[in-house]
Amino acid sequence: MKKFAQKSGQWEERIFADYDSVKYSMIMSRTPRILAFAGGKGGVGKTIVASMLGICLSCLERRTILIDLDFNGSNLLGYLNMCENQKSLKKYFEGRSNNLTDFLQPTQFDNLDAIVFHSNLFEPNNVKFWQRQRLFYEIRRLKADYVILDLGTATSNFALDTILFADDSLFVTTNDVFSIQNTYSLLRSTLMRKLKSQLTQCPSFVTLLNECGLLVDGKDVKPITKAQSQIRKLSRDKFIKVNHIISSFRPKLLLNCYNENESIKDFLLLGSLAKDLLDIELSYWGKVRFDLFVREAVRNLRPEMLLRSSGCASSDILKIAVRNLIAYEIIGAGIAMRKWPSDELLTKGINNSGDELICHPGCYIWENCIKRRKGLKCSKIPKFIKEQSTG
Amino acid sequence: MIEEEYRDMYHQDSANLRTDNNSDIKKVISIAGGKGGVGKTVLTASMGIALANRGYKTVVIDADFGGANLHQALGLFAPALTIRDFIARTENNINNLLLETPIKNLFLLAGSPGTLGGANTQYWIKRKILRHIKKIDAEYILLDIGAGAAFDQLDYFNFADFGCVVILPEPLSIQDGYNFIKLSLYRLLYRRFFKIVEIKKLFLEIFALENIHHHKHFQYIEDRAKLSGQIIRDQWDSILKSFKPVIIMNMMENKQDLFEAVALKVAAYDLLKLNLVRFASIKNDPNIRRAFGLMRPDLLLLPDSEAAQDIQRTIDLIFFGKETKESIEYHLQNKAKFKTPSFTEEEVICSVHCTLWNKCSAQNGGYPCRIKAVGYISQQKEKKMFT
Repeated sequence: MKKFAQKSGQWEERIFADYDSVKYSMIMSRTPRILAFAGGKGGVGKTIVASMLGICLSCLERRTILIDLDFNGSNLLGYLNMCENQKSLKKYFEGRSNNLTDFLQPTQFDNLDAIVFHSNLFEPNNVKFWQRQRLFYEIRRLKADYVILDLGTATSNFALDTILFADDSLFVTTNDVFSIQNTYSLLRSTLMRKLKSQLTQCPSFVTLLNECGLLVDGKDVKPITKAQSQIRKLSRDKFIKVNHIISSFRPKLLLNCYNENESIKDFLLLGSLAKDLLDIELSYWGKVRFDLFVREAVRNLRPEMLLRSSGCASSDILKIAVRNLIAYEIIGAGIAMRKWPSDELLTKGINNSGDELICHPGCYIWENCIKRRKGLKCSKIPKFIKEQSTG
Repeated sequence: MIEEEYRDMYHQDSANLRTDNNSDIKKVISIAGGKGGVGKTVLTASMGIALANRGYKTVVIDADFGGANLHQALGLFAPALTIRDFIARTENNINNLLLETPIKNLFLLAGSPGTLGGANTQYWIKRKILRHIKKIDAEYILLDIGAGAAFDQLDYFNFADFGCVVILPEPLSIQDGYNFIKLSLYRLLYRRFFKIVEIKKLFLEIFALENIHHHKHFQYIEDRAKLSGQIIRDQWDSILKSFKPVIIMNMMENKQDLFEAVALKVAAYDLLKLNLVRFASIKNDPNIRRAFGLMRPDLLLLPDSEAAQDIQRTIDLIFFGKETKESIEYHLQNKAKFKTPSFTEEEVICSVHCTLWNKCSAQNGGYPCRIKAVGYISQQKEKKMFT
């Protein structure tokens, strides 16, 4: 099995949507595939692309749910032209009595439901750990084929955790310097958050990372590749683990407002920057051309006009949906069997040192487990899970 | 007595820190807009450049902690000194952190992108930064505030002498712009009066409600707050009078776009009793995007472009007070040769107070009502007679 896992490294050189996320949802076939839309810069078009993709999937008769998790500028209500008296997700974060399914609102499209957020003065820091775990658990349990999360320009810990939780994390950019720089810094922040959350439970790691300057916030931070080489000299095992974590983060890029006359040198630079400085493998999902029909539809608040057949953006969105999402519904089951799940997938939610196992919705026994204690130590026999992961 | 308690508790340094007559600073302006991508950073940079070219020493500050872009707009790829140095106390004099830009007389206090947790600073850090901003050695200061309407953005917005709200001719941008104005007013009032327990309870009650967009909230708060005493009534009225944000419509293309701003003005007048007289518009210019893509700020304000002329006009409005000529009505009369929407008593304007608001299919907020049913008009007239 280990040899197989090593060979699989060759497959990952090609630039297309990666299979790991599909495998998980194919194995646990009752869970939806979760997409998270994020972007460092505002006004890039995340909410528009997210709602267009949701509408497209619903027209292809896949049950989709759109969730607005943009606490600082929630717009989904407006783009879908829903009435303002809808139930907002704010109440969910205030107590334990509400389920996520209470907030599902129907839209004018048949297979599309939405969970909206409209509140002011809700600080994103206030989402507590247990609320976040509860939200993720309930999102996994939603009865749908696809769940699309709109995160907005948030850079809070909650937003970064949501990006890491989703099966596919999409970063939307346009072809200008501002958004590319902001996307790069957001990629960096998510990677740092991932390293912090998965490694800081073990004190030996903490000292190592502090030496190499990976946990420091500020301008004196080294590029992650330099830190990696330093870690490698100090301890080989830990280097493998850190490398594992970094390589399991597979963000996807989407180019919006693309103009065929402009050169995309800056955009292509992002891929090489991410590889050189952060050691991240970026996948490319596609480009959406600038379309006046979309602008008119948004101005007149007519979401049904967003996917006009004569517009070029609608065909781009359809291409993206089919290539990256629908193709793997058909082929996905076969590929899942051919390519054995990597160690990373099986140890999801489990501390990499192997000493502590944290109860986490990513654990593959989650649905059948009797003793679920979200966020706390796993009460199952650790040996059983360890044997399975190394088998 | 509440008045006596208030007199003891009230102190000058509550919501804004403008009362300092020792510095050379003539004006502090903040530029915000509830929605992202409206063009705040580009506009701040352009206005700073235009002011500096007129010979004034200007400082442009990047108060957008979540996504600091202002240094790129001025041609600096990676700033050596940022606000993070000030927060980490490696540099205590804020004047040493000002960076020089390719434009003479223009200085920049940069923000640092990409630091984890940069957007969630604590309250005391914010107050410290605001206190030190007054000590900057400059004549005009421009603050670039990020997207959204969180406490950070509202406090920096209210700190300035007055603020500019940037909108696009899109309905969602106008909704977010109105939302921002409303929340900054609430925040200003809250910070001034929160030491009075009754008023604090009022505000918290409203913030906890689910539908904060309901139109009667401001009236509700005002009626109950004014019961507390004469001092509070006077303070309240003086705050409302001094709250005069400027509306800037960016990326305007044709005359039709001006009508979108009228909806904002009507909403603010109806729901918040604010008379937003000052208005500026800037034409859409693709050369600006190109100049920023090449990171050449000197190519921004070429004298031929209409956008540059619009920016010079906004500076006259904002900094030199040429107010009377720049209201929306003036724009509409000059640029659009058709009837302006009039706010007389005879014409019925589509607004939230209409009894058919939620059920009407011909809604057109801010403009004359298209359905002129007789019974409905008589209802409105009766209401006006009795109020």
